[in-house]
Amino acid sequence: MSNTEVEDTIKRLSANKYVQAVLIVNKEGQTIKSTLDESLSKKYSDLITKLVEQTIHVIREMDDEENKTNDLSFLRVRTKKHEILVAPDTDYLLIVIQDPEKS
Amino acid sequence: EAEKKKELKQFELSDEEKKIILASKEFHDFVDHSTKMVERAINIQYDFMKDYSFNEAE
Repeated sequence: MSNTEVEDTIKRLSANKYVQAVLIVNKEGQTIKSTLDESLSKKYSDLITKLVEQTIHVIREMDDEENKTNDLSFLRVRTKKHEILVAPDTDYLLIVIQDPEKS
Repeated sequence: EAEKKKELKQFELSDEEKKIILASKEFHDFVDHSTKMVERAINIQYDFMKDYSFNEAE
């Protein structure tokens, strides 16, 4: 993948009619890419990074005491207004907010 | 207020830092992999909440 392909991929994803926002943040919650304005990006990055950290904590705590190998693969939160999807990796998080009203 | 803004700025990545991340192979691989996963998740049209939502009455 090249820089242009990265740009195109994010554009394609955000062009989906159900997708309201696309953000890529690092594990510290710092925004790398976002389709939102600066203040909303900061707010969402902060909040969702905290949610992911808490989720990972829960998963680790639930895991086998002797052999803690479990980890978060995907996080999906359904709300009345939208759906939050998070694809985590060792260094980055892809966050997508979508409208779940599929007719 | 100005100081708060400054603090906020420091916490955020600089354009230079972003440029380095955006150019790394590791980041490209992440975007490739994670967008495929998310696209598949949002493209599945089946809505498991459709007929069983508890919020209907509102």
